[in-house]
Amino acid sequence: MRAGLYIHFPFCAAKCPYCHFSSLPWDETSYRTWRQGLEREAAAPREAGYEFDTVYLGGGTPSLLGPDEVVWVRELVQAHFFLKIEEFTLEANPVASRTNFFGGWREAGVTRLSVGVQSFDEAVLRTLGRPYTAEEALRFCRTGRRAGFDALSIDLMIGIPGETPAAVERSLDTALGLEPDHVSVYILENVEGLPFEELLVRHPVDEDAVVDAYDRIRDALEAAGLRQYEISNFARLGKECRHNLKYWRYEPFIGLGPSAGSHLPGRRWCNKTCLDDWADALSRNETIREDVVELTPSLAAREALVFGLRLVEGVDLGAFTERFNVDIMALFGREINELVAEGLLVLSAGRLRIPSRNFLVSNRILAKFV
Amino acid sequence: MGVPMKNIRNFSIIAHVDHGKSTLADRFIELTGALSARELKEQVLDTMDLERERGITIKAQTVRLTYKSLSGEDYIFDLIDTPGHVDFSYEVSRSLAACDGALLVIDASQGVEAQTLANAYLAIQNDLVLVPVINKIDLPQIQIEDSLEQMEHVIGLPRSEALLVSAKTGQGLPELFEAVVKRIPPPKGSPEAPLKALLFDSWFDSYRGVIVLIRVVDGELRTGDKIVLMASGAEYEAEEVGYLMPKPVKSGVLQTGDVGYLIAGIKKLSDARIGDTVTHRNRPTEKPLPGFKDAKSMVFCGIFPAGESNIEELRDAMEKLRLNDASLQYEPENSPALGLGFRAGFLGLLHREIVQERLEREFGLTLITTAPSVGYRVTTQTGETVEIHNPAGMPDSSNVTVIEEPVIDAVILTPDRYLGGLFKLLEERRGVQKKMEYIGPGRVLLAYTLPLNEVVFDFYNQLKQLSQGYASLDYEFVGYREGPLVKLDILINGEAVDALSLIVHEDKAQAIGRGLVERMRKVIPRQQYEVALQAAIGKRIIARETVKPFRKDVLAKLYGGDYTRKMKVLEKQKAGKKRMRRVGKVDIPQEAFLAILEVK
Repeated sequence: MRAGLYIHFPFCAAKCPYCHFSSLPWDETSYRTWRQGLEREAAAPREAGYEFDTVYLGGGTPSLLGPDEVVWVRELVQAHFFLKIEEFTLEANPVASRTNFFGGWREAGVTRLSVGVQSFDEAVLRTLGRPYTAEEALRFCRTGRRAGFDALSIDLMIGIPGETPAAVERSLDTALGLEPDHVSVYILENVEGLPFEELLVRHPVDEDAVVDAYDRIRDALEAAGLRQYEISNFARLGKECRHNLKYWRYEPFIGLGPSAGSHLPGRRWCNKTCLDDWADALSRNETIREDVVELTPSLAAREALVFGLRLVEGVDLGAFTERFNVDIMALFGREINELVAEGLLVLSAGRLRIPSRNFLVSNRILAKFV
Repeated sequence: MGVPMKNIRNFSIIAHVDHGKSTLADRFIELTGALSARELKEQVLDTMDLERERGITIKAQTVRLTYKSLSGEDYIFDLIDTPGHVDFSYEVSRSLAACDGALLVIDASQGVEAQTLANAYLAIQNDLVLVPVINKIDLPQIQIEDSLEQMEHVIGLPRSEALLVSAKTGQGLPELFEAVVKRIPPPKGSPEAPLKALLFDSWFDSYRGVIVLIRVVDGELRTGDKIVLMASGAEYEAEEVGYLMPKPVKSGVLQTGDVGYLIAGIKKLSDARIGDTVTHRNRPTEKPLPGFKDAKSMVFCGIFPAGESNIEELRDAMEKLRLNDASLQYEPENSPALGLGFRAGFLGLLHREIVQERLEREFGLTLITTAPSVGYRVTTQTGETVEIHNPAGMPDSSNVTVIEEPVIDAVILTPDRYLGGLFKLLEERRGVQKKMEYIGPGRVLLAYTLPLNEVVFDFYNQLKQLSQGYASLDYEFVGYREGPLVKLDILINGEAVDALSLIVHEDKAQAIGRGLVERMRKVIPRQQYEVALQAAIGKRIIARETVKPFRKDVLAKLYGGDYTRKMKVLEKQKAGKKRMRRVGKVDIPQEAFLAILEVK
């Protein structure tokens, strides 16, 4: 069975005030802890029978890793997993000091570079506390574009306090000028307890402005040949992120490293979040798995529906029945019919999907199925 | 206890809120040795968390203390505590009826305030000897002279009688204790006469049932005595009598002049009517004590379950709460918009807030309460007069000949520099001035007649704001007055929502309607569809606002490691937001029901 392999690199040069992902400031000792832990985790006994065709090195800021270290990661997983890599993504921050790594990364096997630009507007980058200038980001992406990766992806973020329509336009134009293969558009999310929360409370972002920015970006990307395939993701035909598609299609993947999530048929879990806890547990041969959720057919079907409806393609109800032995219409017939009648869902040719115009109000729809 | 009647002193401490009444009571308890400072903190300070947080006394606490005077004689101090807020002035008067004297506490940094005056008058009406106490003399920059002058001028107490104390540091307290002995008279009454005792407080204890506090006026009461509550006619046996010191101490007997507790197998709080006279079954007193009127509910609102709470839980909680709060009144209400709930009557706004907070805190309920309203007297075409506690219940205007609204006499004491703002406020609130008087340099007493419904909507906050917190207010209900009142309806998506209806003065209806829907637009969250908000009088729409549909409700980024977190977000959304009620297809938060309180 095909599966994805995710490797979490938990370090960043600096923590961004809006980020809720697991990351730490980089230091030599912690880095060695991570490497040692990863070696142990990769070598540990695990569920067998999977063929890994996508590898995703995410973080954190994995572009802190030089080519040799990426080679080390690849060789490590090659030694312990049955790999048939068709896509190998590296997440990168657009800092000047890494531009000379592109060739090396490519030689190390990276096929897809995903650049967390967020914005090409100077003021917005400052608000976000990103450690680079717009100019730097642009140069990084340009060099990356020319380095010959199969796919270059750019992350853009909207819904940032103080972000003007002009700033959105500037970012969009610059991004399109780079002719990326893939663009992810995220709306800044307020997560309680993060430093950014205070700013968002003081400067609430106007809902209409965010929605307008999203619509504007979506239309422009579509016009440039980057088709929307998920709520936040756009790609040229064939350049969709195959690894991420596994998340939304509810297909199996295994995550390595602290806080990494895994999902195999019948079960999903997360690794211990804290680097030291994760590494200690591995050194003592104890379990690193937390939040283990046993997926009953009904729960699996519901989750598959909730995540699958994020995709433009929606979900194939027939395939659902086959896969989970659960008849979605028997489970949620009333809800589905109501939502279809309201125009919030479309049911045609056995596929259920959210029309893209309703993507931004999808929580209300998805909440019916949890 | 071996102390003769002439050595008993029954008294209360009365004061404007925050003038240090509770602190002084604590010092009495501590310095007479009834409890250590540590025990005090744990036990005596007002028993409810809520009281401690808000710094006010809601339920009166009574305690018996022993005191050895400078002359070496032993005395009993029965310190009868009184609640300290304008809503509870009625309870103050009940407690005072059990006293022979009262310490009138005045904060030296604040001077005489509205409730200082109101409480002093209550004491005078009850023929109590007043001992004026100027408190907080330890504070810097105080004008003791000002307080003394106001006291002399407004209350008529000579300044030579005032004792200067600091309850906080203890300064002046020995003199105060001696003054209690010397100035407050001992109880009068005949030990030989048939038992006559005043029932002046009661509460429900889940182990012992109803516990009542009595003041023995004549005769004595022993454990085992057969007794009668004269007003209700019900007979009981005195199972236990004793003193609160402050822990209950069984005494076997309560003698003439004593204040103590009585447990007599009374099942319901409503059977132990405050003001009733306790006497012996076999040798009853000829004439009962005058008794009290029932506390009158002045403010009403609807209380409905929201979120996960349901009507059974709410009913259960209301019943339990009433066991300890006889002034809480309620009846079932069936609102077309909000379903089953209760219409509750309160002594005032603070009482309303306290009840809501207790229901939520002590019983873990989530509630929606509707805007406070007052009781109207409506005469219909058929000549029938009905009292309306719920604006939604107002008969159709074509059927109404007269609407009368409750009117209060308000006394406001304020520094004169705030008069401009206060005059404007009082005029806006349809006040009629009855008196304005300088009671000392720069300090003014205002007496106004005001419709009560103008006071329930944020009046107190405005008063405090306009006077930077310096003005104080006390009021009493004086009767009903006819007024040009109309019912203002609020329509959501074209449907009138009963729980949002209000009764307002005709001339103000337009402005209130506009302000109200505007405020509601701000507090009702965006929904899936557009929400139209309208204010209407009869069929006439006087204001309209629109809540735009939401456009963004999305988890923008979803990766594998996020499954658990994102599922939780959706589950939370499915469970629905707390403190929201669905009316038709619209989710309405608590703030929207109380939006009128924010309309300026």
